[in-house]
Amino acid sequence: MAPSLLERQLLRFQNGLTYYAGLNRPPIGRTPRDLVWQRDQGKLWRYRSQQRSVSPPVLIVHSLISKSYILDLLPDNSMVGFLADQGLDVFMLDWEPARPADAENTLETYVDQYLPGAVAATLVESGAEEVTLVGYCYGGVLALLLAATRPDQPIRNLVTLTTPCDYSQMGFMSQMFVEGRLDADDVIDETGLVPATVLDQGFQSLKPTDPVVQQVNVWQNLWNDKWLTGFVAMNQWARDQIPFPGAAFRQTVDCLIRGNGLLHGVVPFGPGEARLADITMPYLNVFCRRDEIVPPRAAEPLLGLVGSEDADEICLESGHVGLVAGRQADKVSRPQIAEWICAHSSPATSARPGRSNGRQQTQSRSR
Amino acid sequence: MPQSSSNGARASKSKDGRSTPLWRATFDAFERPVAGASESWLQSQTFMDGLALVLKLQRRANRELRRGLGFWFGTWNLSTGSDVQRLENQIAGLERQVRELRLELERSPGPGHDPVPGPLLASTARRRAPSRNSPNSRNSRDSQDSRESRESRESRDSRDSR
Repeated sequence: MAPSLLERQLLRFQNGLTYYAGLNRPPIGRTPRDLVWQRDQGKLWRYRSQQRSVSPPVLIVHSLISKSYILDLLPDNSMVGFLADQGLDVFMLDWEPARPADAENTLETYVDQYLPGAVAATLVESGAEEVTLVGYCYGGVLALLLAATRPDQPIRNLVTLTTPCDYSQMGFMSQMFVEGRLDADDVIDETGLVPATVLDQGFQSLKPTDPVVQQVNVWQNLWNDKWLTGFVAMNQWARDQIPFPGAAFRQTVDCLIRGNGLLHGVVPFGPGEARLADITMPYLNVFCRRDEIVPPRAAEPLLGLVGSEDADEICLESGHVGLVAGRQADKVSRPQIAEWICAHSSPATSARPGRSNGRQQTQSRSR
Repeated sequence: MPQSSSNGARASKSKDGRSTPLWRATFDAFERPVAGASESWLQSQTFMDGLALVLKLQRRANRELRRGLGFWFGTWNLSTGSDVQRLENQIAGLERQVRELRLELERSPGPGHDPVPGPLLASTARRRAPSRNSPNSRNSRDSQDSRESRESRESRDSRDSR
């Protein structure tokens, strides 16, 4: 039953005090997990589950420009929690904020060093022989490059979530770096990194009236505890950008934005090139119709560029973040993604020995 | 048509059937065209060209200011943020060299070669430890350790002799 007008005002006052005093601490990233591998800023987490019934494990590669708790935002709004509940063995390759020592990291550093290391550690940890690789946003670019350049990698399925392909359609953020405007070095600081503030300002510029609208939304829904918790968590993540390695950013500007390499299906990579046509494993491209960061027309071409015979796409009625953490995510996007992954997986057959320190063991169960 | 909502506030029915307070509907009526216009302006070539120019000039001005300050502080033998930055970058460079050396070590095939790059955590590493009968057994690992210690001894001796 909806609270009365007086009750709402009281709740508004009470919640307003904690909100404007900054005392709201949403329980973000609470799904139990274990750190199973680490190299420099790359960390591989395995999410605990009592019902691992599907193989191969899912390895999520997170974006380099944001923090990964968006995929595990709140206990009742968690992408990784949902996937784990579907019987999937979920791993996440997360990136700690880049430090000056990471300034020279190129796309090759991530694709040739960190990702294969994480894949190998996933196999060791799960006892599986293959993985389902899922890339979120820029993590999808890394996943595509790995799948295209490393046929030796045991990738059974490839999934990209809101991954940009046609950078000419990316709007303000990429248009600022076309020939004649800003060069990559114009935003790289003395440490060799693109500061988090630059990325934050870029994202904020996409919707100039958003700060005002957000405050109006807060006032309207201040009485609603659940809404407020979700808003604070989401808002915290949206402003929680991390520095981007300068060398990788130069490549992004040169090869992806100016060269639009992904749209042409060929990206200069190392001494050679990465060809999307060389991706032959089952592939799923997920993008969103109301995405303002990676508009659908920027993500859509991927399906036609990969060489996979078994390739699908899902276009959802949500925004960039709504795909993984929105109100409809639990009912619409997550089930469809999980369904595709499960349909391209098998029942887990081998059980690994359990761990004495409270970690879960993979259970043998037919689906 | 405005209606009375369950909480008594004046409200109108939105497209999805939920009631929207009248004050909110009024705000939206003002905000939407403003948002649309500002987003269009932001995406315009003129704005982006102008912004790029301003950012470039700002960066150049900052650089010149820092250079000037560095000169004056240097005159009085005082360190500046740029000096600290330079040190930080040098440390970062050393860290990168260590990473490269580690990578080279991992890539060089040897008796104790670990096919999984990167330091696995203890529990995993334990599971991956080679069996007693395998070629990567304790003897091989010991021989690698002894080789490394021999090499470090030799380098120390050569340094002493210099």
